[in-house]
Amino acid sequence: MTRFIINRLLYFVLALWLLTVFSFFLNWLFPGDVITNMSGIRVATEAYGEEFALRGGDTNLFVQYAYYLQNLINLNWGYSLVTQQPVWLEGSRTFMATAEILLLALLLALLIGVPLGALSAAWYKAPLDKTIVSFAVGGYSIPVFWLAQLLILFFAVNLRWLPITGQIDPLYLIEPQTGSVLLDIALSDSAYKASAYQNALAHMVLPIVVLASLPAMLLLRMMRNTTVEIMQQPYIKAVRARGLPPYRVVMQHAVPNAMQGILQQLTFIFGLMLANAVIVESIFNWPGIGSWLLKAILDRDYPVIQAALLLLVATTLFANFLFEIYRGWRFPIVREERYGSA
Amino acid sequence: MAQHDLYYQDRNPSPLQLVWYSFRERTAAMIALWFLIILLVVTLASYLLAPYDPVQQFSDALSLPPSWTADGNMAFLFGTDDLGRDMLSRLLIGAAYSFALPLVIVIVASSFGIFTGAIAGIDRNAKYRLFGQVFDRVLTIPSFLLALVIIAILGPGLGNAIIAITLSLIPQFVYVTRNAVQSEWKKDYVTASRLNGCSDTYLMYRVIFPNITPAMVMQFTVALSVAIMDIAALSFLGLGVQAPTPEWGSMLARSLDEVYLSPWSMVLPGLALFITITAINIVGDSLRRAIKQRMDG
Amino acid sequence: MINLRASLPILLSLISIGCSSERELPEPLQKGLVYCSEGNPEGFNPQRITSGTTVDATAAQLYDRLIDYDASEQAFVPALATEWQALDDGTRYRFKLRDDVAFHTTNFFTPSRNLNADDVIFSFNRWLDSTALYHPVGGGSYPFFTATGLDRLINRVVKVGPHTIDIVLNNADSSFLANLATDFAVILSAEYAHKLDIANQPELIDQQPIGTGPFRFEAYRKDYYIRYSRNPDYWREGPDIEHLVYSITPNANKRMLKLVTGECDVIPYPLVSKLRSLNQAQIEVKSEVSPNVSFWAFNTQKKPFDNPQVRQALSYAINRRAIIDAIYYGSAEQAESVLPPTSWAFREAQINYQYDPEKARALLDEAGITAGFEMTIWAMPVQRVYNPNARRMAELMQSDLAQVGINVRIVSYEWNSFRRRLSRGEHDTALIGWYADNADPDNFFRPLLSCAAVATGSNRANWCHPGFDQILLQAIATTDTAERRQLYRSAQDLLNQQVPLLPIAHSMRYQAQQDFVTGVELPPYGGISFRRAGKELAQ
Repeated sequence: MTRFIINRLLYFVLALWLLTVFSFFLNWLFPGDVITNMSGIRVATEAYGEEFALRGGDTNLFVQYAYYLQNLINLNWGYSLVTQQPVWLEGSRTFMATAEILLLALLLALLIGVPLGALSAAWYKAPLDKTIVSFAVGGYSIPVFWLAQLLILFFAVNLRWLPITGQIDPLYLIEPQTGSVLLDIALSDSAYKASAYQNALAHMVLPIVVLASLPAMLLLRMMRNTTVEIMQQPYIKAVRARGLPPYRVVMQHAVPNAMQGILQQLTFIFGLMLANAVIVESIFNWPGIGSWLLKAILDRDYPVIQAALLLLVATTLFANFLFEIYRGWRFPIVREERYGSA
Repeated sequence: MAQHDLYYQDRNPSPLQLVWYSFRERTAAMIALWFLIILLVVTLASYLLAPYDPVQQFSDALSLPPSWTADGNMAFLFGTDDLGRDMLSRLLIGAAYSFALPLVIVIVASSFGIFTGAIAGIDRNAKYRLFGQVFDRVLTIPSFLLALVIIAILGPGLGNAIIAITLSLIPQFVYVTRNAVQSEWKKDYVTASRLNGCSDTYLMYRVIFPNITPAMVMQFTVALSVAIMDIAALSFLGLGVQAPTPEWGSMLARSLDEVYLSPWSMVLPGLALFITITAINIVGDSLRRAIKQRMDG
Repeated sequence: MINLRASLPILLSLISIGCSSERELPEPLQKGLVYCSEGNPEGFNPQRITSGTTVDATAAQLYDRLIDYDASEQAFVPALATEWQALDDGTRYRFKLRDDVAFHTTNFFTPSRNLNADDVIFSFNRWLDSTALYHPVGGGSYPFFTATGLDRLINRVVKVGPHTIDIVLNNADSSFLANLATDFAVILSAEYAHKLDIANQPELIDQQPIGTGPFRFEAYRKDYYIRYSRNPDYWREGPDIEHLVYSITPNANKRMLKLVTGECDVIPYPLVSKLRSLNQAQIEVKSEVSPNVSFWAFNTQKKPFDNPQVRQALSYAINRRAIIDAIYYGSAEQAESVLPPTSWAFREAQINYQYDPEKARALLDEAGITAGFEMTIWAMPVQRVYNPNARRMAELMQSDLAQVGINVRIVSYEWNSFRRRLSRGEHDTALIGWYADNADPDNFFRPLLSCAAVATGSNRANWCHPGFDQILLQAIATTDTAERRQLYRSAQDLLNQQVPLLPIAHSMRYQAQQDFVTGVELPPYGGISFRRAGKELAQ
């Protein structure tokens, strides 16, 4: 297991390192001055000379990269060209805001997708199964931005149940300290915490539901297909021959094994959600990393683009790493696969 | 005397044909496939079929509802948008951007990807294993995010969006092809051909390729639905197609301001996207099942 | 399954109690007001900018002026100055200041004294005196004062007593008091400036503002919100609400939805026709005739737009009537001049630029512009009183221009980037407009079309015509209305013939709000004021 972890860690760090090299060279690919692209400090300003020296502007690429990496690690990510605010500060906040809805949406997707998928498999080829499956095909074909709009029209405008933008009503005076609104409420000295939580949760419902819809349907389909496949395995046949009712066969024997395949797909699903977060956040004005990146692209705010990409991609890589470790720990066969033949 | 009788034998259907026999048994799959074929024909003929120029503005017919409603007008079958442009024409011409364009993108991306993947598949050199591991991690980055990275470098615009989506789809094809080739490579029939002294090129094209085609076709449908979704999403976010081009995603985005006065201007492009992607996904899913059926015998 | 489905609405409604349609607002929401503004402010000091978004967000909320203009009385009324008189044939004005005006106490500044003459002198010198310590802070550009010529009109500001000052003018000027009453002539704190100077952070003066206004600055998060709290030491009657939030919502449609869902209490520039179609009983729409103009400016420093014939041709190519019907839904009238017809100096257009694509094409051919010529229209990304949807307007024009063989690319950026790039003259043509700051016709000409305004960037046409400038200068040098009218008429004829910009429409000003909001006024000149804002909730 240790060897497995070290091996995975190595690849993770390697990929991360390549990412920093890539993002370093982005500064040359972007138009304009390289040091400005890195630091957000404009050429004609006083601070530019200082920054130029700090980032080794007159040295060769390797030294410059070393400086770049050093600044990256010291969280000196420069300043936004638009707001002149430190990029790391805003980046970490938006990151937390995204993490908050992303994790909740993933949870929701698992809670919907896995049981429904198992249910569908248990009634394989029955009307229930067919209904669920056609529902799922529609569910993962629907464009998220369209779904978001339909839900807004229905729940927010017609029924007036839910608010549509932001994390919380700004009149609750919650300072964005961490970026995650639930944490921020806990940290605040607001006199109305209960009411604030209620308001924040109401704000979260639509973004989370929209974000969870696609992965939920994908998980449902995967869960169903994997479970159905497992149901044809000899050991399941053996269990059934012993007279266990189909329902218990599925729940006790097929589902746990199907979960392994699901976990393998979680990385992919996580990445997909991260990409959808860009769309969902910009529709619901959620102050997350996706909408931050989008605005930066439209404003050509290069230090921010770079930071947002770095954070987004590093997150997918890290999630991949975590899922692999978990899988390796939970299902030893994963470890064997890697070393059995080597 | 004709020689073909000499060694007469039943010609085995190719793996793709086998998959097709199983595929055509499925009603939903065939409906979806026919829909896509018709959509393709309509798209190719869209400039002939469209009753009006998609950017022509009828200033006396602003926000006209579809013809089947009480206020509708038969001259505008699906109504008009807030600038008085014919919805039907816009949807038809929009199909060129939302359906035909992604199709071309995927064809280009798949040619590059399959070619590279095949080479990577045969090349058993150990030094590529490290590269392969890193590459697998690149694949965890979804194509939409990759497209955003590329757009961030190139700047928004339709041309750049096309480049971005094409590039972002290639890795998936490389991956699928490489894995398929590698898993076939280990099989006995390939070994037998190798022992017969077949060249790598022959092995690739005549021995392995027919067996992995169904998987390629399936990856093609997956990539197509991703490409359609991505180009619509980029245009929705204002990074892709620019006004007045009638792409479905951008039509949806600009209809939002009008949704109470003219709900059809939002519903129709959304529905067009939804149905198209559903059809592609149904075809993809059915292919997947048909392939599995063949594998299982 | 069935259980789950049945309980879903109940679950949802439990979560959503906080924002249901009933008027039982949670306590924090009762005590505050959310104004969904249309864009980010450029800073918090209206002296330095002319953008209406920034003025709305700052001027009347954070600051006060020496005098105010009362539109209903059509007279100047006391504000920070209790009385004033003109001396020396109108070349010297003496102002007596109130002595009970406290500056804001916030977590970043505690004033040790009340407002006095030093603060007024500091505030004026900020933009008047290029040797003043704070003049260069933030770039040293004060477009309103440069464009109106106020910085050249005022010779100096002199302290007469602790609460008395004299403003000495170089010559008598009929628009002087009107300009002092605008949103731009605000009074800052000299003590705060001194403190920042010691701390070596002078730029904070415009980012963490201190004023005397009804609200204090608390926090600003770009693209999300600005938060103010009530100034408890306000020198006159202040607002009922304790907190004021500007929730930044650039998308007009989203702003309207947020009003419907109750996330906004007040919104500017509502999509009026759509709001009515929603039939929301609890939403009130207010309207006010407003002195504004939307126009299409040609960048006259770029070829071929330096050629008046090209500008005329393009003006003929545009179907303004159709644009007004499609964009304003009957809430605007077609503009003949930059001045609205309600102004006493208005002059109807001599050349009407009726939609005539053939004539346009002929003129373009004469000017050597062939079919397939490409140009950009920069459409502002936000709604303003004068233009509810510039992007859509640009799309209509795009199709009109395609008729005469011109390919148009529509360009748009986030509002502040947009304005910055326009000032640099990156555009070919731009769709933008102007909102009068005061009742004087001069306010429509000098900030928009004078040579001085080219330098400050508020002249979107980059049009500098010495003869035109001469007329404007003559017009402000006299107080004789008949003579001024004559001069402004000839100025308008010149504009009509030269078309550095094509006036499009004069629009009504609208605001929509929840019916329980009280006291949010729409002054005819200048931005919005929340000084008397409150919420009347049925208990």
